[in-house]
Amino acid sequence: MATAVLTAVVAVGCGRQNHGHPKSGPVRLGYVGGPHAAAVYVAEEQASRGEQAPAFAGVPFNASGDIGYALIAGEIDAGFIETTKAAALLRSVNGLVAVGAVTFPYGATLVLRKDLDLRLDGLAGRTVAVAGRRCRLLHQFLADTERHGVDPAAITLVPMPFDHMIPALEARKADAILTRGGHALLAVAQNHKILYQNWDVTGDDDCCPKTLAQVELVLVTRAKGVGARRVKALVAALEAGSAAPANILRAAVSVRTRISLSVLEPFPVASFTALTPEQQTELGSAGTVEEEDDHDCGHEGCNHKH
Amino acid sequence: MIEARNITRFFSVVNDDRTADGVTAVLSVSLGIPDGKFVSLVGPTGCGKSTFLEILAGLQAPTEGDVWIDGRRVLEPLPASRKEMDAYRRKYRFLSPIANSLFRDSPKHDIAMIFQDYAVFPWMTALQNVAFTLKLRGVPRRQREDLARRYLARVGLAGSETKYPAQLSGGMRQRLAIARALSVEPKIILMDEPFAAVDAQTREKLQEELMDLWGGTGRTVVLVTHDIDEAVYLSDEIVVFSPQPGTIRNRIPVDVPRPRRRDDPELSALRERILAIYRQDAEHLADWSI
Amino acid sequence: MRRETKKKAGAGVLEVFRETGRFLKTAFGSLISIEFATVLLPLLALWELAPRLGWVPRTLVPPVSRVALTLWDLFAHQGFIGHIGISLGRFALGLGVALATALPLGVLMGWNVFFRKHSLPLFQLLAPVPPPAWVPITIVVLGVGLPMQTYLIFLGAFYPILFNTYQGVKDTDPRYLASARVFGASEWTLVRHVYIPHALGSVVMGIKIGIAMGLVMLIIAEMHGGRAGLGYLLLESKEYFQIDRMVACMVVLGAIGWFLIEVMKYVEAKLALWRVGR
Repeated sequence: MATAVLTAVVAVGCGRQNHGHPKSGPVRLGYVGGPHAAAVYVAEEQASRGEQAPAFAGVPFNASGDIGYALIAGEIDAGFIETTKAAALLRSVNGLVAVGAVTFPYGATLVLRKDLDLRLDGLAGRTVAVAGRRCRLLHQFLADTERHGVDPAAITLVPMPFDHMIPALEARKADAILTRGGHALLAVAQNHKILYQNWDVTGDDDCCPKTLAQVELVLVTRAKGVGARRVKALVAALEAGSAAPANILRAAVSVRTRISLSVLEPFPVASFTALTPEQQTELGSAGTVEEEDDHDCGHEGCNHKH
Repeated sequence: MIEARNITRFFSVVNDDRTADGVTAVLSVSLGIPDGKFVSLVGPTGCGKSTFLEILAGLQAPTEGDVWIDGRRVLEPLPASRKEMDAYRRKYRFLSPIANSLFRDSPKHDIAMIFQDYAVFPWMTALQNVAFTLKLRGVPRRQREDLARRYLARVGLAGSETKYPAQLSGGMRQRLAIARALSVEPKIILMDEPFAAVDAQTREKLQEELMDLWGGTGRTVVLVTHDIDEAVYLSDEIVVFSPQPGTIRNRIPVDVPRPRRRDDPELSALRERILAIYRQDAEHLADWSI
Repeated sequence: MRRETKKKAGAGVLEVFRETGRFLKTAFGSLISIEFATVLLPLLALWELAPRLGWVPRTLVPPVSRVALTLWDLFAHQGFIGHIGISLGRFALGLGVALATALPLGVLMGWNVFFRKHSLPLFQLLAPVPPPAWVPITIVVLGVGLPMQTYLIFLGAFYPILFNTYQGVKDTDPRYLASARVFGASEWTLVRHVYIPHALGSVVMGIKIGIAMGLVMLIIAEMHGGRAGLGYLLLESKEYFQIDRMVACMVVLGAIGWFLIEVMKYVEAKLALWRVGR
């Protein structure tokens, strides 16, 4: 008897799996608000101004971890997920495809915690988070700052993934972090200070493979049930948004995230591109988005996008 | 010597329908109990004799009057005026008046008490129960166990030292309570309907055992009971209480020499006399109630 | 003389073994029974089949065999014991602090009206705040690390133990108090020999609830900035979409909670012997 009840519950639960995602209309796009969503913001502005028909409906999230699960559950059709997590997702779940990426120049930045007031030579005895002891970022940083009196032996290096660095800063586990460009912008948006910056560093090591060095977020979508046409439209809309001039992108980010323009000005803007096959292999994304038949269009009629 | 002077105990009770009633449990009772005597307090149910016994023991404070045991006052009476009430509250805001001292075990008076529902500690074995009271009286540790065993043997619980009260029958539990009370060898023993909850046969046996234990020790015993047979069999003097509010109706000495026989005609005559008093009180209840 | 103590020690060790044996028998006795097997085995079979047959998505609900394999892998290759040890150590610390503070406070509050009037309202105001709501403030004040985790676990376990102890001591039958007082017991003796034994049933129940809440707070505390421990593993598995690892952690957590409660139930049964009688 109990088994029957449980089976019923489970069946109902999976019945919800493929619930009404419309096969026409805008793609439901999950994203986490912030400077990296610049293309999304501008694309939404352009759609609302009528320059383009809306190819997607943005669904804001608080954490990118939830985007992955929402994607699997079918509540959204596509979502932006952090690179390492996207790789893990693509590895463990079948039926997902990576189709685009938000990129940001790599660069090396040393961000100091907001309540500390130090200069480079005052770093002795402090804790600095790095992505790895053999990271190119670290070497570049040490090379550049040797003449400023930075003594590598006097600094405590704590290895941790890039994603954990800003929370570690907030939680006071690290006094400063040596991070990449995209994360540096996020850190500055939370009022931390920059002590050192060098945009000429390109990733090419175990910390960050060259192909993915500049990829901050990956656009992941389902292979089935979304429709290649709609995905193409989505990518095109985001690319159009990303192609806007830098000041428009910055203005959109400033309005939506309330980060002041003065904070955003010194930094480059995030841009959106489609993924190269090389990058797709690196991420572990196999397969392509399947075409959807015209017959499958719902009674609302099809959105013909060419 | 126990001396109770003008004891009045008044309760105010708030009913369910928010009206207040006053209950006078004991009204103006004065009683002197000489040393070495066995005194029974009898009366119909609810006449305040248990309350009076608790006042004697120092577990309740009288509304008026004092109790003096061997020249020391037991508890001061409850305050009467508002000012006295505030002073009383301040004095006892930390520790209640019936509490003993904070850290030292010292009985205020040389009393032992046996309660109606035994009140032996169920989380201690029989031996530990007796040893506990001995400890309270300051008996050194080495002697405690032997003394406890001896008293348990005297009340007939020789094989049950390691049993918990839950494993003993009602009569055995009462014997344990008696052993506990007697082991401290007190000057005064107060008993509140100790044999009420056991069957008739056990009751008679326990009464005889009590006589054996008490006889010749020179201790004062105050027994509260509603069983007149018990009272006439055991006591030197019977104090009859009236129904609520309790006052002393009569004090009847029992001059029959011990050991007594239950079927002694003198005892039966006494019994009849007391019953007659009861009947009269019941008929004239209106004259008594306040 | 020495031989006597050695014999006593030997007998003591033997007794400990026997007690452990008895405990294990009672603990597992209710689990390993035919009646429960008729419910458990079909459920396990369902869990195994449902993902394999596609009733539920394979990646979201791993089959039992997969979870078992992951468990084995975690223990054998990934230092799971280390994580479990760290978590249990933190939990023991937090629970220890909670016991050391809540038990005396509860006894004090139950025993003395003066103390109770001054302190109980404060606890009654603070208690309804759900412990997870304390996390942000705790992080700000204590940072992220052992003090913060200990404090959160302490918070979870403190209030149930406090209130149950207080209630148990307060409800001590006044007859026992009266009979002890008549024989001259001081307040301290009363606390030690009357109030506390009488309240033990409530105290043990409070500790059981405190353990349950403490485990909840352990996981929450470890999810915030821990670098090791079961909560951290749980969070990491979730972030990197390793559901089988998550379920393995859940299984272990459930087993730990069950075991702790069984220990408390055994303690309770031992203490209640004087209540029931054999």
